[in-house]
Amino acid sequence: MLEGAIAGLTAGGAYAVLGLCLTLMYRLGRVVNLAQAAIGVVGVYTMSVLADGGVPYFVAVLAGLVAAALVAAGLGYMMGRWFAEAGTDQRSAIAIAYLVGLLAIEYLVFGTDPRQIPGVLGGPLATVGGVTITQAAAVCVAAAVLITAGVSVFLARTAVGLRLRALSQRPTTAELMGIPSRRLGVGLWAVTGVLATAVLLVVAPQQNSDQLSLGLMVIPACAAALVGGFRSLVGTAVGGLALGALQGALAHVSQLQEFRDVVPFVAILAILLWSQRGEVWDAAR
Amino acid sequence: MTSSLVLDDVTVARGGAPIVRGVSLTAPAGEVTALLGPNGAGKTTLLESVSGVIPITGGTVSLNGGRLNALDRVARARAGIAHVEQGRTVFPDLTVAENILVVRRGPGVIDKALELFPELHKRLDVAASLLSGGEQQMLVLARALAARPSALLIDEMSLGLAPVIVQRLLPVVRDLAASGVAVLLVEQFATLALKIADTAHVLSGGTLTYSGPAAGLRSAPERLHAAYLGEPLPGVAGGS
Repeated sequence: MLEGAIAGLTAGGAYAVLGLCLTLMYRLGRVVNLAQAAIGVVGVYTMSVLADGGVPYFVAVLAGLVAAALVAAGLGYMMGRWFAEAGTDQRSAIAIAYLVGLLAIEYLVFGTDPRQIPGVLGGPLATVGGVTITQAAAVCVAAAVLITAGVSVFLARTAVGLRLRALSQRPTTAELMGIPSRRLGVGLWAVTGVLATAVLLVVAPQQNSDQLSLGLMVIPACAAALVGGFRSLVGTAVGGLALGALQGALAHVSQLQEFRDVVPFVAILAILLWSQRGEVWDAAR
Repeated sequence: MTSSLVLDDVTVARGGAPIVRGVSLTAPAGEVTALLGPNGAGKTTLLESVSGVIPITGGTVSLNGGRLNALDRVARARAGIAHVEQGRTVFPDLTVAENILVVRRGPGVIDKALELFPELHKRLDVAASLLSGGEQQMLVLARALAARPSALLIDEMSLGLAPVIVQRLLPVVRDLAASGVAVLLVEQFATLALKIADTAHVLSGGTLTYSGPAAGLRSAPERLHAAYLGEPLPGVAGGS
């Protein structure tokens, strides 16, 4: 079971990183970006197509990251251009449209068949107490930790981070102070698109890598972001890693194995019920 | 050339309905220009059209001789327009220092911005949401100053503040103008604004019903009442 939990940290790290992207987009961009993982799929599949065509792996990876950044920036530009004054609910609904549209375009461009995604992190890193730690799990956990720390420092210590925080609190006031919301918004979309691609490039070779499965990794990422209340970066990272570890552990329990994919949904439901407990209790009374 | 904010025949509509019609006025540098009028007269709408929050549908807005019409609100801010909105719009989760640094970074920026508000110096690390209403209004003014504007638009500065705080802020606005900034002050409480204004304009029903020296309204309150009721007064200069 412990080995399963450790193995689950690969997916857990991906949930954490995607969840961090969701939390950043919610806090700074006023949107629950359900297209986050689908944007990453653009990068992963671009890399895969290029690598299959003979392009060296790391060049293909770079091209995939650039492709995802461009797609994300384009979507962010449209959001800032046409929906700048829209509320979080409306912007999130538009993100769902982005998700559906992206998946449709990805099917048209890359075909409907699952691809074998090439990777370089397939092997074990170390064995501790009989438990094997894979390279992918180590990289995903390290990525979650480093991104959490890096983003926290970036937001607290840099001029751009400060401006992003101001924009998230009072967008109109920030613009009246000369803060370029559209440019910063596009940058935020592009950076989160790159992060999503980077983490999916690590996990895609380890699992079922059809576009829909990868694109819907946004659901456990949402559960992770909910653990952090869509505010706390540390809470999101811990939530993502814990979800992945729990799923991995359940995969090693024969009676519960088939329920492992339900874990994110149960987590989302439980967190929403818990967060609404006061209102539910008041209504019941 | 003396810097100034000039509105020429400005018309603004919301949802197709004209809110402000043919307003022309000048806010010269170094002076406080009061824009007065009853609730719903279009004062806030006019300020928002100057700073680019909403587009104007006719006329021109210019600053220091340069037309602003084609610029968005970010570009207008960079051109020298600072808009202090209604409601003490601090960035609540940022500290006092961060609220200022978000506009401009560099050595001495905070000290310069807080020259007129020394009481905020000892609260630099406090979240803006924890300040009193008066302190928040001071912070908003200090933040606007940090942008080193040519024109400062202030909307309903006294709203929700204790009279003692308002008395503290009025001379500060006067000092700001004296430093060379063109101040356009929107205020529902006319007597407050007239205390410090050089020029006054009264907006009623979307049109100017008085434009002239503030002293002309200070010394004759009945003229102010008539202007509020929308009666054009003799000698209305139409902003000239």
